[in-house]
Amino acid sequence: MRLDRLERSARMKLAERVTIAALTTLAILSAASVAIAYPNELATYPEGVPRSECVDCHGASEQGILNPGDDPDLLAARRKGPHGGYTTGTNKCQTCHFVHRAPAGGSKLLPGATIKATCESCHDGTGGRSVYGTIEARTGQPPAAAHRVEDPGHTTIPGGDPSGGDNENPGLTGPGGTLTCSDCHSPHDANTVEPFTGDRLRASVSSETAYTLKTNRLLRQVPTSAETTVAVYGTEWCASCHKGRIGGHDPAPGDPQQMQNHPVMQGDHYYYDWLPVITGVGSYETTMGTLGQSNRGYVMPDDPDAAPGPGPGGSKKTALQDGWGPLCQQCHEDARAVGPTEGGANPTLTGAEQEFRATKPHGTEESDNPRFQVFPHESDAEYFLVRPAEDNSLCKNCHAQQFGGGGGGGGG
Amino acid sequence: MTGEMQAAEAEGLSRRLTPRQSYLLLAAVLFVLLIALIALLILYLLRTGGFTARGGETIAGLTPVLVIEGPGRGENPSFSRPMGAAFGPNGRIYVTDTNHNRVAVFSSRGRYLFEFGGFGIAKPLAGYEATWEEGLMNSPLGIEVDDNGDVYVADFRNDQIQVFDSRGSFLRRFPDPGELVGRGSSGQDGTGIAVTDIALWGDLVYAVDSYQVVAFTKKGEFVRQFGRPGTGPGQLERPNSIAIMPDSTVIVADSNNGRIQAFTIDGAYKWETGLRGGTPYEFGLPRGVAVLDDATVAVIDAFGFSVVLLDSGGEPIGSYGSRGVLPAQLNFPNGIDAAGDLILVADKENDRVQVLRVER
Repeated sequence: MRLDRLERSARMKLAERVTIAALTTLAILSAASVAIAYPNELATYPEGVPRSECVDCHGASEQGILNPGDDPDLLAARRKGPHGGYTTGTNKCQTCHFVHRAPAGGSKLLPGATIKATCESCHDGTGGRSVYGTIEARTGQPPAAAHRVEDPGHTTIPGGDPSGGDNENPGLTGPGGTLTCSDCHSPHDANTVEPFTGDRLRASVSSETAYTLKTNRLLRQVPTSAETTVAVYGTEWCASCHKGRIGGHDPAPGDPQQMQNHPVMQGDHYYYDWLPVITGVGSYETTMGTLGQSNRGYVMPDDPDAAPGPGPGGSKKTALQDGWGPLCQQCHEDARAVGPTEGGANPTLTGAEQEFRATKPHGTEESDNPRFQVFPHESDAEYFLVRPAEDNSLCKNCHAQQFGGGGGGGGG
Repeated sequence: MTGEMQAAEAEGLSRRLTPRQSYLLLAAVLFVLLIALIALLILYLLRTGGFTARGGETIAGLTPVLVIEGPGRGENPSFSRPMGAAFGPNGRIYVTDTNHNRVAVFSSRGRYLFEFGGFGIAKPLAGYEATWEEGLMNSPLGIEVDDNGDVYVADFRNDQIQVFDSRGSFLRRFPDPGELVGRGSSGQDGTGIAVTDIALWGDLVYAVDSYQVVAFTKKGEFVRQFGRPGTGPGQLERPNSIAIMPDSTVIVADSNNGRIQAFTIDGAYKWETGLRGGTPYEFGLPRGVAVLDDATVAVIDAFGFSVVLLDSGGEPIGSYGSRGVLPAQLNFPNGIDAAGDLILVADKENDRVQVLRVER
């Protein structure tokens, strides 16, 4: 009797096992059928849906699934390299991360001892613009200005205090509370700003694809210390950390770090792709447009014939320019020259477009600024100024008439 | 007494060596010393030094033959991100120690021989001083050695190529980093070439810069250039390496396009391997190319931490290597050269170079 029960029990266990195995197999097959339902040869793209959205799951570089061809969106995704386009079976993670113990003892299983060291494993200057080191390579000296990454002693954000424009110590995430690359950039392209639809011309860009492939530069919507989310790159993005630089607050006497009557005003919206730009070489006429592929909006032109408006000395802005202020980058950027390279680096720089220089009034004169174009990483000019602040040459970029400058400039 | 003395004298005489015996003894001692000296000399010549190791286990298809981490002496005993390496005559090993702006030379056994270089700026900004003197470098990358032992160095940030003799003495440089090259150049300020690597073919020097191939004579006269920015066939996006096959096919690591492209020696497009067309293969970041004796193309895939072999038509043969710090493992490898069945890899992020054998 007992044996019978045991045998019956064993048979039941066997039946249970068979049933479980069958159900498991069925479940696996069912799950697999989801994948089988979309074989490569049947892969289609829903009408109206950009193929680039496929990249969110498939990854642009997955062989046989998405050959980017000449599709600019896919090419853009492809160019992310290890910075995005992840799949469930991606092997991109191990490009930057070790699986177990990282040999250099750094954090996050990264190969370098620090974030910066890890980034520089690839960003060594041979794959595009260098971000750090270009100034010293041509001067033998440290840059005059830089977003100093992992630099001991630099743990504050200039103008980071929203209440008075003082420096703020926000607890940056580099070693010892210093700034590091990932404070501004998301290496995983997570919660990043929209790609710059109106990116500037850069002399150092070597491929025409750069003009169709916009990049968000992996900038975070919320950089470390920011309290607001900024979806599109522009002045507001800079101001999300340099909070005290916006708003025209009262300057602190004797504090040269503090902005005085700064022209960048809070509440305006400045994007690269929609602002007053001059219409042509030597023209003072403006239209609303994009900075994309030219620098023609870089320095806001003044119309010498415009009727004086409000403000000290009168405003020379055209009606179109009224209500618009300059971008941060108009004064704080190192390299604006896009000089002719004679069939060189920039194939789209032809004819009149080459004449749009940006560091002198109206953008019609050639720049003598270096062309590092690594803003906002480092500059050979203090405070990233496009022109030296001494002798008012920076001011004369826009206020040429007030300082007796030529070039047909008007005072603003 | 007299008899005893005579007996003792006779015994002493029998112990005393004859002149012939003495010479023989001296010769034997000298011979032994000579053998010992020769043995010491051999050991000295074969020594590898404290920063070189030999041998190791095969890992992921790569067998370590030699691992060199630096000269092991001087101000900078270790390498810092070496990005190029080349075999020279007699198996000598030349390394561009990029962050130290020098070339270090080792014997085929890994013994440190000498180095040359130093930091110098050839293209200063306005207002700054040019510190470049003959032989000084600014971020040297690719390197190649000809049959005479002359060394060609891609002086990247100085936008020029420098040539040295086999002892490291400066011979010449080209192009002029302040002059336009051909129909256009990629160097800073639009002059010179932002050269990343070099290959030699007869009396010609082929170089890659940001988006093109530029050929010079060994004396530095401009010959031709081909390639333009872009993603299409024949176009290049930040190529990092160049090699030339025995049949004169020019192989270029088109790094940012993730592919290998082949051209005729005159610049006509031949084939490519990658995801954009041609033979499909997914490279992570091809940064180095070399050609083995049997015309196999060896590609360094920096993001794959591997060496990928292609046949002479670009068909993939296999991928070898793994990430790590053990001998035969790689960590963001960069440059490569080949000699016989051996490859020489600039294992950049491991701050070393490795001589490896690919176990196909």
